[in-house]
Amino acid sequence: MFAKLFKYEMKATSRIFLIAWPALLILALLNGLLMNTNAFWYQPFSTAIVQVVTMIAFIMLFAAVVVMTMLVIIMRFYKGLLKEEGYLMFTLPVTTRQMITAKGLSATVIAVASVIVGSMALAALAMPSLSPHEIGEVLIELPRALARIDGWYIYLTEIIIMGIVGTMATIYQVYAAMSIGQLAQKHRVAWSFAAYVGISILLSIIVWVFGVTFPIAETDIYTYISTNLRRGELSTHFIIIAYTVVQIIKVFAFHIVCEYILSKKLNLE
Amino acid sequence: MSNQLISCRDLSKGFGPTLALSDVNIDVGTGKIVGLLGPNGAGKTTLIKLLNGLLQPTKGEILIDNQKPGVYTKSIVSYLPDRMYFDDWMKVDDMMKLFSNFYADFDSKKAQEMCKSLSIDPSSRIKTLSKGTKEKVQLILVMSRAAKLYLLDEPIAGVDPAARDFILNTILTNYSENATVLISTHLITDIERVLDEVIFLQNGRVILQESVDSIREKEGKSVDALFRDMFKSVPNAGGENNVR
Repeated sequence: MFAKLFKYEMKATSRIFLIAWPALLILALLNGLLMNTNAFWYQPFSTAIVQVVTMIAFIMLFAAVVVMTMLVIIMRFYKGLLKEEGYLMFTLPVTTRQMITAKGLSATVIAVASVIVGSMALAALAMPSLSPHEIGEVLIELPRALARIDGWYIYLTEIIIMGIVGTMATIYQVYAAMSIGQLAQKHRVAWSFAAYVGISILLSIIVWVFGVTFPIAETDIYTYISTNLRRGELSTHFIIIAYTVVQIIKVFAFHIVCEYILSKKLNLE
Repeated sequence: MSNQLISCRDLSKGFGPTLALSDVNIDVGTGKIVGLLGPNGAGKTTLIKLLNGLLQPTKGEILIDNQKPGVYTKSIVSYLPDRMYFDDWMKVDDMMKLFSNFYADFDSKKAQEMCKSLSIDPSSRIKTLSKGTKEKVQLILVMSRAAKLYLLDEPIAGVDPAARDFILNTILTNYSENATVLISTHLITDIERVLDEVIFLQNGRVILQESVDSIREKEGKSVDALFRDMFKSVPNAGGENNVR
């Protein structure tokens, strides 16, 4: 049943993106090529217009993908479980746990995919304006730079996992906030926002309390890691793993909140 | 183990200070069409949502086929809510696929045939259908299951008389012999002919559970007339908070 739920959820979530992602990549490539017809100011006016228009289109689509990713993730949970569609979903012969997990996993897949597509789009934008020589240099220099860090592939794997789990924790925080908002009789959206802010404040307090003995400020974890990577400190592994574990704990904690509320305190409008 | 399909013991449900249901005790066996009747706000929808597991009781117990509402009961209950639950992007086809994926008792062929007889194109996007057609699609989905219990919440409220007849005929011809249908409504005249049993709800309490035949025998009147009599004496019956 979980596989079926996940499949259904992926289908419902990815619909817009199956158009938006390829469109973004194509626009990026097009922009890159147009920019490469260098000497912008000496172009005929018509070419310049085309360049400007495609650039604006690219920027707008890029922003749209970012906003859509967040919006779709939120709406698939809010509309899909807490509004009318909840009447369908909560009467399917599946557990609430399976339902939340299917939403959480598919949302994470979409978010990570959007980040990957976004990065690829930026690369595609830059690619045509680089000469083959420059591209070759990047391809040679990048491995060299990496080789200077001992066990760079371990770091890379750890950081990727950390990124994915961190994304998931953020998504689950939003889910938990919406579940808490659902407890209110009225103004559920407003209460959800309030719950999100409340959880964030609570987390900051916890980090601040623990921070005295355990100096990881969540916000600059990536800066911390990159500085220490250059210095080649061994404890960096520890920091990454510790941060990842914290994110995993957050995912579980938020999941428990969602599951408790949606199975015991559900009250669809 | 009881041989009842539905059994509620001292069932109460409150929303904040208001009690939508209080101390409801009912037993419903198999092979019946039961009318859940009562004025607006009597607690009909609340009872159905409790039977579905969409709400948790404040007090008391519900058993469906001897089990508390959960994954098993959801697999044997076919529920028609009093609202549309389609997601905008879906086609009629998609909904059929969803139902056949999740409900082992869903008969796709039957659903297709019903669509055909109502000239509903399965490839049409649900968003583009009229309200009445959407209701029909939802009814087709619900009645194409070979469920043990059908919970139909106001199935005839928003449709024209022709559609009303269609809905009632669908219910009559499609439910299997060892299944029970519970229909909530306040439009009694239209469904009286199909009912075996009625449950009257008022202000969250069961005030009558009786077979239609014995009402006719004992009271010498139709269910509709009895309903009008019973609720006539209470001005503004059900005027309390209309619990959703």
